[in-house]
Amino acid sequence: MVGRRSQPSERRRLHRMRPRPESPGRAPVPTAPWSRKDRILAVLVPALLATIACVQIARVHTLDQSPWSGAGFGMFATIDGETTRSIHGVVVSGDETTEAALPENLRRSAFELAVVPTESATDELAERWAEELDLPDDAHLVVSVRSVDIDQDLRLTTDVIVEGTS
Amino acid sequence: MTATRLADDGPLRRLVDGSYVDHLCTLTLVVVVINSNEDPPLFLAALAALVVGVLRPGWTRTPWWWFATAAVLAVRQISDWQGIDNHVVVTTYWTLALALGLAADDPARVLARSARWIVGLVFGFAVYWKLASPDFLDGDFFRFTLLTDDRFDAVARWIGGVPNEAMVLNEASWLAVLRGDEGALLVGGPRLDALALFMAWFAIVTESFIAVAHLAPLRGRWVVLRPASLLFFCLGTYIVVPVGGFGCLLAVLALADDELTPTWRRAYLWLFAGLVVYGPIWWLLFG
Repeated sequence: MVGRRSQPSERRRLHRMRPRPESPGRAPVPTAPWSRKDRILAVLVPALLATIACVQIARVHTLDQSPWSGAGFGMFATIDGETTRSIHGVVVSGDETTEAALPENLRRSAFELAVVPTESATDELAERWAEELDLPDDAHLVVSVRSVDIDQDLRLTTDVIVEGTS
Repeated sequence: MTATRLADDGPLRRLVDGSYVDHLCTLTLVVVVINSNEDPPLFLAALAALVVGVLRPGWTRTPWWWFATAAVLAVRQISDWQGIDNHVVVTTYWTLALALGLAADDPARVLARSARWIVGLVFGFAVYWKLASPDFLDGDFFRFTLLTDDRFDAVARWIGGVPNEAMVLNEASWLAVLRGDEGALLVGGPRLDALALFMAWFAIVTESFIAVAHLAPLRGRWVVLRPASLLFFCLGTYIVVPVGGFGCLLAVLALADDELTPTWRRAYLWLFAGLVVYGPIWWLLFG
Protein backbone atom coordinates (compact mmCIF):
# COMPACT_ATOMS: atom_id res chain seq x y z
CA MET A 1 0.00 0.00 0.00
CA VAL A 2 1.34 3.34 -1.00
CA GLY A 3 0.95 6.02 1.61
CA ARG A 4 -0.62 9.35 0.86
CA ARG A 5 1.78 12.14 0.02
CA SER A 6 1.60 14.82 2.66
CA GLN A 7 0.64 18.33 1.62
CA PRO A 8 3.53 20.83 1.20
CA SER A 9 2.58 22.83 4.29
CA GLU A 10 2.44 19.66 6.36
CA ARG A 11 5.83 18.55 5.05
CA ARG A 12 7.31 21.90 6.10
CA ARG A 13 5.81 21.47 9.59
CA LEU A 14 7.23 17.96 9.91
CA HIS A 15 10.61 19.19 8.70
CA ARG A 16 10.63 21.87 11.38
CA MET A 17 9.71 19.32 14.06
CA ARG A 18 12.45 16.88 13.07
CA PRO A 19 15.40 17.18 15.42
CA ARG A 20 18.41 18.60 13.56
CA PRO A 21 21.29 16.16 13.46
CA GLU A 22 24.34 17.34 15.35
CA SER A 23 26.80 18.49 12.72
CA PRO A 24 30.22 16.99 13.20
CA GLY A 25 32.75 19.66 13.98
CA ARG A 26 30.17 22.18 15.05
CA ALA A 27 30.29 23.37 18.63
CA PRO A 28 27.00 23.67 20.51
CA VAL A 29 25.54 27.15 20.65
CA PRO A 30 26.77 28.69 23.91
CA THR A 31 24.14 29.54 26.46
CA ALA A 32 26.10 29.90 29.70
CA PRO A 33 27.04 33.44 30.71
CA TRP A 34 30.55 34.63 29.98
CA SER A 35 33.05 34.24 32.79
CA ARG A 36 35.09 37.33 33.69
CA LYS A 37 38.27 35.48 32.71
CA ASP A 38 36.91 34.65 29.24
CA ARG A 39 35.73 38.20 28.62
CA ILE A 40 39.23 39.48 29.33
CA LEU A 41 40.96 36.78 27.28
CA ALA A 42 38.73 37.48 24.28
CA VAL A 43 39.49 41.18 24.24
CA LEU A 44 43.26 41.12 24.89
CA VAL A 45 44.50 40.50 21.34
CA PRO A 46 42.03 42.84 19.61
CA ALA A 47 43.02 45.54 22.13
CA LEU A 48 46.71 44.94 21.40
CA LEU A 49 46.04 45.13 17.67
CA ALA A 50 44.09 48.38 18.00
CA THR A 51 46.72 49.97 20.25
CA ILE A 52 49.60 49.17 17.90
CA ALA A 53 47.58 50.29 14.86
CA CYS A 54 46.84 53.65 16.59
CA VAL A 55 50.54 54.08 17.48
CA GLN A 56 51.36 53.40 13.81
CA ILE A 57 48.91 56.11 12.68
CA ALA A 58 50.47 58.57 15.12
CA ARG A 59 53.98 57.71 13.90
CA VAL A 60 52.97 58.21 10.27
CA HIS A 61 51.65 61.68 11.08
CA THR A 62 54.53 62.74 13.32
CA LEU A 63 57.58 61.04 11.78
CA ASP A 64 56.53 60.66 8.13
CA GLN A 65 56.76 56.91 8.69
CA SER A 66 55.62 54.88 5.70
CA PRO A 67 51.88 54.14 6.01
CA TRP A 68 52.60 50.67 4.61
CA SER A 69 54.91 49.75 7.45
CA GLY A 70 54.89 49.33 11.23
CA ALA A 71 52.06 46.87 11.97
CA GLY A 72 49.35 49.21 10.73
CA PHE A 73 46.88 48.69 7.92
CA GLY A 74 47.86 51.30 5.35
CA MET A 75 49.05 48.84 2.74
CA PHE A 76 47.36 49.32 -0.63
CA ALA A 77 45.83 52.59 0.59
CA THR A 78 48.26 55.17 -0.71
CA ILE A 79 51.07 55.48 -3.24
CA ASP A 80 53.50 56.72 -0.61
CA GLY A 81 55.34 53.84 1.02
CA GLU A 82 58.80 52.44 1.55
CA THR A 83 58.81 50.73 -1.85
CA THR A 84 57.93 53.93 -3.74
CA ARG A 85 60.27 56.19 -1.76
CA SER A 86 63.77 56.44 -3.15
CA ILE A 87 67.09 57.47 -1.63
CA HIS A 88 69.49 59.62 -3.65
CA GLY A 89 73.02 60.76 -2.91
CA VAL A 90 74.76 63.66 -4.65
CA VAL A 91 78.40 64.57 -4.09
CA VAL A 92 78.82 68.36 -4.01
CA SER A 93 82.28 69.73 -4.64
CA GLY A 94 82.42 73.46 -5.33
CA ASP A 95 79.95 74.10 -8.14
CA GLU A 96 80.02 70.50 -9.34
CA THR A 97 77.50 67.85 -8.42
CA THR A 98 77.81 64.14 -9.14
CA GLU A 99 75.29 61.36 -8.52
CA ALA A 100 76.63 58.76 -6.06
CA ALA A 101 75.69 55.10 -6.11
CA LEU A 102 74.49 53.63 -2.84
CA PRO A 103 77.09 51.19 -1.41
CA GLU A 104 75.80 47.64 -1.05
CA ASN A 105 76.48 47.54 2.70
CA LEU A 106 74.22 50.57 3.27
CA ARG A 107 71.16 49.16 1.49
CA ARG A 108 69.50 48.04 4.70
CA SER A 109 70.07 51.42 6.35
CA ALA A 110 68.71 53.17 3.27
CA PHE A 111 65.60 50.99 3.38
CA GLU A 112 65.09 51.79 7.07
CA LEU A 113 65.48 55.49 6.23
CA ALA A 114 62.81 55.17 3.55
CA VAL A 115 60.48 53.71 6.19
CA VAL A 116 61.16 56.41 8.78
CA PRO A 117 62.79 59.41 7.04
CA THR A 118 63.87 61.56 9.99
CA GLU A 119 66.46 64.34 9.61
CA SER A 120 68.85 62.73 12.09
CA ALA A 121 68.69 59.36 10.31
CA THR A 122 69.28 61.09 6.96
CA ASP A 123 72.35 62.92 8.30
CA GLU A 124 73.63 59.67 9.78
CA LEU A 125 73.25 57.82 6.48
CA ALA A 126 74.95 60.72 4.67
CA GLU A 127 77.93 60.49 7.06
CA ARG A 128 78.31 56.74 6.60
CA TRP A 129 77.83 57.01 2.83
CA ALA A 130 80.44 59.77 2.60
CA GLU A 131 82.90 57.64 4.60
CA GLU A 132 82.44 54.81 2.12
CA LEU A 133 83.12 57.19 -0.78
CA ASP A 134 86.22 58.59 0.96
CA LEU A 135 85.43 62.13 -0.20
CA PRO A 136 88.08 64.89 -0.33
CA ASP A 137 87.89 67.60 2.34
CA ASP A 138 86.22 70.18 0.07
CA ALA A 139 83.38 67.81 -0.91
CA HIS A 140 80.29 66.71 0.92
CA LEU A 141 77.39 64.37 0.25
CA VAL A 142 73.74 65.42 0.14
CA VAL A 143 71.27 62.60 0.74
CA SER A 144 67.59 63.02 -0.04
CA VAL A 145 64.54 60.83 0.49
CA ARG A 146 61.96 61.31 -2.25
CA SER A 147 58.35 60.29 -2.59
CA VAL A 148 56.47 59.92 -5.86
CA ASP A 149 53.09 61.16 -7.00
CA ILE A 150 50.99 60.74 -10.13
CA ASP A 151 48.63 63.26 -11.77
CA GLN A 152 45.55 62.82 -13.96
CA ASP A 153 47.76 62.73 -17.10
CA LEU A 154 49.74 59.79 -15.60
CA ARG A 155 52.78 62.03 -15.09
CA LEU A 156 55.02 60.88 -12.25
CA THR A 157 56.63 63.59 -10.16
CA THR A 158 58.96 63.31 -7.19
CA ASP A 159 59.06 65.37 -4.04
CA VAL A 160 61.83 65.60 -1.44
CA ILE A 161 60.59 64.45 1.99
CA VAL A 162 63.83 65.11 3.86
CA GLU A 163 67.43 66.01 3.05
CA GLY A 164 70.65 65.49 5.01
CA THR A 165 74.33 66.24 4.51
CA SER A 166 77.58 64.66 5.56
CA MET B 1 38.39 -1.87 -6.20
CA THR B 2 39.09 -1.01 -2.60
CA ALA B 3 38.57 2.40 -1.15
CA THR B 4 41.47 3.98 0.63
CA ARG B 5 40.71 4.22 4.32
CA LEU B 6 42.45 6.19 6.96
CA ALA B 7 44.09 4.07 9.63
CA ASP B 8 41.77 3.77 12.64
CA ASP B 9 44.19 5.42 15.03
CA GLY B 10 46.59 7.11 12.63
CA PRO B 11 47.51 10.80 12.76
CA LEU B 12 45.31 11.70 9.77
CA ARG B 13 42.30 9.97 11.32
CA ARG B 14 42.81 11.85 14.59
CA LEU B 15 43.15 15.06 12.60
CA VAL B 16 39.94 14.54 10.60
CA ASP B 17 37.95 13.40 13.63
CA GLY B 18 38.99 16.34 15.80
CA SER B 19 36.68 19.10 16.97
CA TYR B 20 36.49 22.37 15.11
CA VAL B 21 38.99 23.93 17.55
CA ASP B 22 41.37 21.12 16.53
CA HIS B 23 40.85 22.06 12.89
CA LEU B 24 41.54 25.69 13.67
CA CYS B 25 44.88 24.72 15.23
CA THR B 26 45.84 22.60 12.22
CA LEU B 27 44.81 25.24 9.67
CA THR B 28 46.69 27.88 11.64
CA LEU B 29 49.83 25.76 11.42
CA VAL B 30 49.43 25.85 7.62
CA VAL B 31 48.84 29.62 7.67
CA VAL B 32 52.01 30.17 9.70
CA VAL B 33 53.98 28.18 7.10
CA ILE B 34 52.49 30.15 4.19
CA ASN B 35 53.05 33.53 5.86
CA SER B 36 56.65 32.72 6.82
CA ASN B 37 57.73 32.07 3.24
CA GLU B 38 59.89 35.21 3.02
CA ASP B 39 62.00 34.24 6.04
CA PRO B 40 63.75 30.91 5.25
CA PRO B 41 64.77 29.91 8.82
CA LEU B 42 61.30 30.75 10.13
CA PHE B 43 59.70 28.95 7.18
CA LEU B 44 61.64 25.76 7.97
CA ALA B 45 60.73 26.01 11.65
CA ALA B 46 57.05 26.52 10.73
CA LEU B 47 57.21 23.55 8.38
CA ALA B 48 58.66 21.40 11.16
CA ALA B 49 55.92 22.62 13.49
CA LEU B 50 53.29 21.64 10.91
CA VAL B 51 54.74 18.13 10.63
CA VAL B 52 54.80 17.80 14.43
CA GLY B 53 51.25 19.18 14.58
CA VAL B 54 50.01 16.53 12.14
CA LEU B 55 51.82 13.66 13.83
CA ARG B 56 51.07 14.80 17.38
CA PRO B 57 47.88 16.90 17.20
CA GLY B 58 47.54 16.93 20.98
CA TRP B 59 50.69 19.02 21.36
CA THR B 60 49.25 21.85 19.31
CA ARG B 61 46.03 21.95 21.34
CA THR B 62 47.79 23.47 24.33
CA PRO B 63 48.11 27.20 25.04
CA TRP B 64 51.85 26.81 25.52
CA TRP B 65 52.42 25.68 21.94
CA TRP B 66 50.76 28.83 20.65
CA PHE B 67 52.39 31.14 23.21
CA ALA B 68 55.73 29.79 22.01
CA THR B 69 54.72 30.20 18.35
CA ALA B 70 53.51 33.77 18.94
CA ALA B 71 56.71 34.61 20.83
CA VAL B 72 58.98 33.28 18.06
CA LEU B 73 56.99 35.10 15.35
CA ALA B 74 56.89 38.33 17.36
CA VAL B 75 60.63 38.33 18.05
CA ARG B 76 61.39 37.81 14.33
CA GLN B 77 58.93 40.50 13.29
CA ILE B 78 59.99 43.09 15.86
CA SER B 79 63.62 42.68 14.79
CA ASP B 80 62.61 43.37 11.17
CA TRP B 81 59.50 45.50 11.68
CA GLN B 82 60.21 47.87 8.80
CA GLY B 83 59.73 45.20 6.14
CA ILE B 84 56.92 43.07 7.55
CA ASP B 85 53.59 42.91 5.71
CA ASN B 86 50.51 43.55 7.80
CA HIS B 87 48.96 40.12 7.22
CA VAL B 88 52.10 38.52 8.67
CA VAL B 89 51.60 40.61 11.81
CA VAL B 90 47.94 39.58 11.95
CA THR B 91 49.08 35.95 11.79
CA THR B 92 51.07 36.57 14.97
CA TYR B 93 48.08 38.23 16.62
CA TRP B 94 45.99 35.19 15.76
CA THR B 95 48.51 32.71 17.20
CA LEU B 96 48.46 34.74 20.43
CA ALA B 97 44.66 34.75 20.36
CA LEU B 98 44.74 30.95 19.95
CA ALA B 99 47.01 30.66 22.98
CA LEU B 100 44.69 32.79 25.09
CA GLY B 101 41.58 31.09 23.73
CA LEU B 102 42.84 27.61 24.54
CA ALA B 103 43.50 28.78 28.11
CA ALA B 104 39.89 29.98 28.48
CA ASP B 105 36.99 28.27 30.24
CA ASP B 106 35.12 28.15 26.93
CA PRO B 107 37.77 28.12 24.17
CA ALA B 108 35.32 28.03 21.25
CA ARG B 109 33.45 31.11 22.36
CA VAL B 110 36.58 33.11 23.25
CA LEU B 111 38.26 32.22 19.93
CA ALA B 112 35.12 33.17 18.01
CA ARG B 113 34.92 36.59 19.64
CA SER B 114 38.64 37.30 19.31
CA ALA B 115 38.63 36.32 15.64
CA ARG B 116 35.54 38.41 14.92
CA TRP B 117 37.03 41.51 16.50
CA ILE B 118 40.38 40.97 14.82
CA VAL B 119 38.65 40.86 11.42
CA GLY B 120 36.54 43.92 12.27
CA LEU B 121 39.50 45.94 13.45
CA VAL B 122 41.77 44.94 10.56
CA PHE B 123 39.18 46.07 8.04
CA GLY B 124 38.22 49.10 10.11
CA PHE B 125 41.79 50.39 10.15
CA ALA B 126 42.21 49.52 6.48
CA VAL B 127 39.14 51.64 5.67
CA TYR B 128 40.47 54.49 7.82
CA TRP B 129 43.66 54.55 5.76
CA LYS B 130 41.80 54.48 2.47
CA LEU B 131 39.45 57.30 3.47
CA ALA B 132 42.39 59.32 4.82
CA SER B 133 44.33 59.02 1.54
CA PRO B 134 43.18 61.48 -1.15
CA ASP B 135 45.16 59.56 -3.77
CA PHE B 136 43.12 56.45 -2.98
CA LEU B 137 39.74 58.19 -3.17
CA ASP B 138 40.39 59.79 -6.56
CA GLY B 139 41.72 56.56 -8.11
CA ASP B 140 45.33 57.74 -8.40
CA PHE B 141 46.58 54.90 -6.21
CA PHE B 142 45.18 52.20 -8.48
CA ARG B 143 46.13 54.09 -11.65
CA PHE B 144 49.71 54.07 -10.39
CA THR B 145 49.61 50.51 -9.04
CA LEU B 146 48.03 49.03 -12.15
CA LEU B 147 50.77 50.52 -14.29
CA THR B 148 53.80 49.81 -12.09
CA ASP B 149 53.08 46.74 -9.91
CA ASP B 150 53.59 43.49 -11.80
CA ARG B 151 51.01 41.71 -9.61
CA PHE B 152 48.36 43.84 -11.35
CA ASP B 153 49.90 43.47 -14.80
CA ALA B 154 47.30 41.03 -16.16
CA VAL B 155 44.38 43.14 -14.84
CA ALA B 156 45.82 46.32 -16.34
CA ARG B 157 46.27 44.69 -19.73
CA TRP B 158 43.10 42.58 -19.93
CA ILE B 159 40.57 44.83 -18.21
CA GLY B 160 42.23 48.26 -18.34
CA GLY B 161 43.18 47.83 -21.98
CA VAL B 162 46.79 48.88 -21.47
CA PRO B 163 48.85 47.61 -24.43
CA ASN B 164 51.69 45.17 -23.72
CA GLU B 165 54.33 47.52 -25.10
CA ALA B 166 53.02 50.31 -22.86
CA MET B 167 53.50 48.08 -19.80
CA VAL B 168 57.13 47.52 -20.81
CA LEU B 169 57.64 51.29 -21.21
CA ASN B 170 55.95 51.95 -17.88
CA GLU B 171 58.25 49.56 -16.09
CA ALA B 172 61.29 51.29 -17.58
CA SER B 173 59.93 54.75 -16.68
CA TRP B 174 59.20 53.71 -13.12
CA LEU B 175 62.67 52.21 -12.67
CA ALA B 176 64.20 55.45 -14.01
CA VAL B 177 62.30 57.45 -11.38
CA LEU B 178 63.49 55.11 -8.65
CA ARG B 179 67.06 55.56 -9.91
CA GLY B 180 66.94 59.34 -9.81
CA ASP B 181 64.87 60.82 -12.64
CA GLU B 182 62.66 63.58 -11.26
CA GLY B 183 59.67 62.66 -13.39
CA ALA B 184 58.28 60.39 -16.09
CA LEU B 185 55.13 59.87 -18.11
CA LEU B 186 53.26 56.56 -17.86
CA VAL B 187 51.08 55.17 -20.63
CA GLY B 188 47.54 54.05 -19.76
CA GLY B 189 44.69 52.36 -21.57
CA PRO B 190 41.11 53.19 -22.58
CA ARG B 191 39.50 51.71 -19.46
CA LEU B 192 42.24 52.42 -16.93
CA ASP B 193 40.52 55.35 -15.17
CA ALA B 194 37.21 53.54 -14.79
CA LEU B 195 38.95 50.39 -13.58
CA ALA B 196 41.03 52.31 -11.03
CA LEU B 197 37.98 54.08 -9.62
CA PHE B 198 35.97 50.86 -9.53
CA MET B 199 38.73 49.03 -7.65
CA ALA B 200 39.09 51.88 -5.15
CA TRP B 201 35.40 52.09 -4.32
CA PHE B 202 34.91 48.32 -4.39
CA ALA B 203 37.57 48.12 -1.69
CA ILE B 204 36.08 50.94 0.40
CA VAL B 205 32.51 49.64 0.25
CA THR B 206 33.28 45.96 0.86
CA GLU B 207 35.86 46.61 3.56
CA SER B 208 33.54 49.04 5.38
CA PHE B 209 30.77 46.48 5.24
CA ILE B 210 33.02 43.74 6.64
CA ALA B 211 34.24 46.01 9.45
CA VAL B 212 30.72 46.97 10.50
CA ALA B 213 29.39 43.41 10.19
CA HIS B 214 32.15 42.05 12.42
CA LEU B 215 32.21 44.82 15.02
CA ALA B 216 28.45 45.23 15.36
CA PRO B 217 26.63 42.89 17.78
CA LEU B 218 24.51 41.23 15.10
CA ARG B 219 21.86 38.73 16.16
CA GLY B 220 19.72 36.06 14.48
CA ARG B 221 19.73 35.82 10.73
CA TRP B 222 21.85 38.97 10.39
CA VAL B 223 24.98 37.10 11.49
CA VAL B 224 25.13 35.59 8.02
CA LEU B 225 26.41 38.97 6.82
CA ARG B 226 29.79 38.21 8.41
CA PRO B 227 30.79 35.07 6.50
CA ALA B 228 28.99 36.30 3.36
CA SER B 229 30.80 39.65 3.21
CA LEU B 230 34.19 38.18 4.00
CA LEU B 231 33.79 35.44 1.39
CA PHE B 232 32.68 38.01 -1.20
CA PHE B 233 35.76 40.12 -0.45
CA CYS B 234 38.11 37.14 -0.63
CA LEU B 235 36.71 35.94 -3.95
CA GLY B 236 36.71 39.43 -5.43
CA THR B 237 40.19 40.28 -4.23
CA TYR B 238 42.27 37.16 -4.35
CA ILE B 239 41.19 36.13 -7.82
CA VAL B 240 42.75 39.39 -9.02
CA VAL B 241 45.73 39.51 -6.66
CA PRO B 242 47.02 36.12 -5.55
CA VAL B 243 47.98 37.11 -1.99
CA GLY B 244 47.02 33.69 -0.69
CA GLY B 245 48.61 34.13 2.73
CA PHE B 246 46.17 36.83 3.78
CA GLY B 247 43.23 35.00 2.21
CA CYS B 248 44.03 31.78 4.09
CA LEU B 249 44.35 33.71 7.34
CA LEU B 250 40.97 35.38 6.77
CA ALA B 251 39.44 31.97 6.05
CA VAL B 252 40.78 30.64 9.37
CA LEU B 253 39.46 33.70 11.23
CA ALA B 254 36.06 33.16 9.61
CA LEU B 255 36.15 29.47 10.55
CA ALA B 256 36.75 30.45 14.17
CA ASP B 257 33.10 31.53 14.37
CA ASP B 258 31.60 28.82 16.59
CA GLU B 259 28.10 29.48 15.22
CA LEU B 260 29.08 29.09 11.58
CA THR B 261 26.75 26.70 9.76
CA PRO B 262 28.23 23.59 8.15
CA THR B 263 27.55 25.09 4.70
CA TRP B 264 29.61 28.20 5.42
CA ARG B 265 32.25 26.07 7.10
CA ARG B 266 32.57 23.96 3.94
CA ALA B 267 32.70 27.10 1.80
CA TYR B 268 35.57 28.51 3.84
CA LEU B 269 37.44 25.20 3.82
CA TRP B 270 37.15 25.18 0.03
CA LEU B 271 38.32 28.78 -0.07
CA PHE B 272 41.30 27.88 2.10
CA ALA B 273 42.25 24.92 -0.09
CA GLY B 274 41.66 26.94 -3.25
CA LEU B 275 43.90 29.78 -2.13
CA VAL B 276 46.70 27.40 -1.19
CA VAL B 277 46.84 26.01 -4.74
CA TYR B 278 45.65 29.13 -6.61
CA GLY B 279 48.68 31.32 -5.87
CA PRO B 280 51.28 29.11 -7.56
CA ILE B 281 48.93 28.40 -10.50
CA TRP B 282 48.26 32.15 -10.95
CA TRP B 283 51.95 32.96 -11.09
CA LEU B 284 52.49 30.11 -13.53
CA LEU B 285 49.76 31.41 -15.86
CA PHE B 286 49.95 35.19 -15.48
CA GLY B 287 53.01 36.01 -13.42
